[in-house]
Amino acid sequence: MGIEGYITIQKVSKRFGATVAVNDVSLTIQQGEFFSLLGHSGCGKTTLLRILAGFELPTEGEILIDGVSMARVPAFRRPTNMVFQSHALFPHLTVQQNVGYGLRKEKLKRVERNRRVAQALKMVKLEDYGLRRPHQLSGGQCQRVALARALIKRPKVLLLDEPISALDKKLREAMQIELRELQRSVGITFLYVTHDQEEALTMSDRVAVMFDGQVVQVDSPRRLYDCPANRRVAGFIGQMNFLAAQPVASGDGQIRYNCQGLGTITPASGNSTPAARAVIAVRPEKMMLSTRPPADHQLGMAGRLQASAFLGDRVHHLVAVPDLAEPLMVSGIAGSAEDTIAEGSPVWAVFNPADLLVLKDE
Amino acid sequence: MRLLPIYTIIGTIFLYAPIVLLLVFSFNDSIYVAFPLKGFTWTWYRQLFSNPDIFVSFGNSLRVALVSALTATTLATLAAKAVTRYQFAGRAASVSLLMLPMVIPEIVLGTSLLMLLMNWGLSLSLVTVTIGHIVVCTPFALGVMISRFAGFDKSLEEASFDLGESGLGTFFRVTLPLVWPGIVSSLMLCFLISFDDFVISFFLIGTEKTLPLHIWSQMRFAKKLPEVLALGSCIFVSSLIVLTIAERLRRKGALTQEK
Repeated sequence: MGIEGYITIQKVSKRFGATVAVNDVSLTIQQGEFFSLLGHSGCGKTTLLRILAGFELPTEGEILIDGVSMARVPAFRRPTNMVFQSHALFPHLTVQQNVGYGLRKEKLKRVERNRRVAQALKMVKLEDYGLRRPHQLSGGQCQRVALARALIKRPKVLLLDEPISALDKKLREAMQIELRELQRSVGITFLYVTHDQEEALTMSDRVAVMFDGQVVQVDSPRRLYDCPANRRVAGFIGQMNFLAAQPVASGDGQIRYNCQGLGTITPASGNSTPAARAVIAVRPEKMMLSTRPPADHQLGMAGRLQASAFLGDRVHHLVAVPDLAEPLMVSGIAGSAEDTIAEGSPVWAVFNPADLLVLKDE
Repeated sequence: MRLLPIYTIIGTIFLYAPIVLLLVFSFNDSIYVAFPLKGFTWTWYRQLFSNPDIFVSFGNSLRVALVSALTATTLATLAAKAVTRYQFAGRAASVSLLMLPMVIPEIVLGTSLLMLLMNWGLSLSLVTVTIGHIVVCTPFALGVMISRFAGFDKSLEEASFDLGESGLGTFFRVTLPLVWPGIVSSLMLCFLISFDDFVISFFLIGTEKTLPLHIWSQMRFAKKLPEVLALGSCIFVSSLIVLTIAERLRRKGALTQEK
């Protein structure tokens, strides 16, 4: 992996009047990668995608796809194709005509064209739906038509703008797997925009987390979850308990923190970057609910079991700790021994020091 | 609540009585429009169709209405595309300016157009009438076209660009088919406005008459009245047929574009 990627986004900014939608973003994406842009709505991820598609021009910066600058390439000549959030299927055309729409410019023979359309429909398992109109299809089928229509052009990059966010949960989960398999089989680079962290983690090779127009962290889903770059990322990806902490000056070069509810602690090296404003974080599933105080090698906080929420496979316990403003969340496996503790009982939230994260708090 | 059906019936009679009277008296065997009816006759229709003046003025109206409707709709389609698809300085102001002639009284518009066209040294003819009708029709056409453009997803056009189609190609392959029902309604609306127009035509007319002006000129002769009634009935029935066909087309269009 060099600096030069298959897609190189160099210091791209986009301003609309006084608002900065995309702020100095640089990214490199490799060929065949499933890359996600993850962030809240309004964080600039869709704008960045639209800049890649050529619908918006960047105010500053440059984009290269396969070594070619896109600065002077209009949308209809770019080696990118897009799957829109609204699907944007042409309502006046049949499924076949929709899928074959982009082939007209390729000057193919009719037979070849029909073959490509049939092949694309087969790829998304809609062989029997060619003559239907978009309004006769379900949401998931529309999604597949939109995919087929974009992929038939054999783009270098497929851009996906929250394509499955409008589907219901079951279908969404099925589509996630389908998309991932499709991407593997066609080998095309996917650039996927979503606000749904679960979606991003499930499908992506790498994820860029965006806040306020800036990319805050680019990592694999696992690294993103285990080693978030700062408090915002940690809070955005999955659940997290935060404990206020103050760095404590000490002579031996070790950085210690005076942590709310825990006293002075020395976090394991590796996870800690010295920062004037830091916060200690622990994932709910790294904590255990216990009626007994922690063992010597463990840490723990005493409190009262405020509530337990049953989620089927897991149970989320909220533990009210006197020193903390927010109750701690402890995630346990349903049916385990601690699951039977009655609400209101005094309990300990116990965890290993190794599971503490020290995060920059901006 | 029991009075409601009665109220409806009275209202309907009020609305349709004049038209019914028109139809009835066009077949009445008397030159006086008065009860009791004298008997059934086709005389007035026969007279009407043997009168070449009617056909000439009908032809004039048809030509004026077709050209006005086509021109106004074309202008409105382009303007609607501009104001719904692009952001530019003075966008809101230009929409208001374009829509304004709709609320200017025709008598004012007629007078000012007459002054302007005379100043330009144009002699009054069907051409000046057509110009006037285009001015009157364009705001209506624009209203129809803006709502049509606003009603479809902008990303459809982006999708077309994205799939390799140029601006012009996108216009013909996506935009035009999608706004087509709007274009048809706009053409019909403009056609009817122009065909029906009296005030503007009255100011701008030369020696060739449009149908409404011809009818008006015939009203001076009492003997001609039944013939005018027959003409009115013909126009009424044919507009009914046109409207029914147009409504069928519109519903069909709306059906395929659902969702």
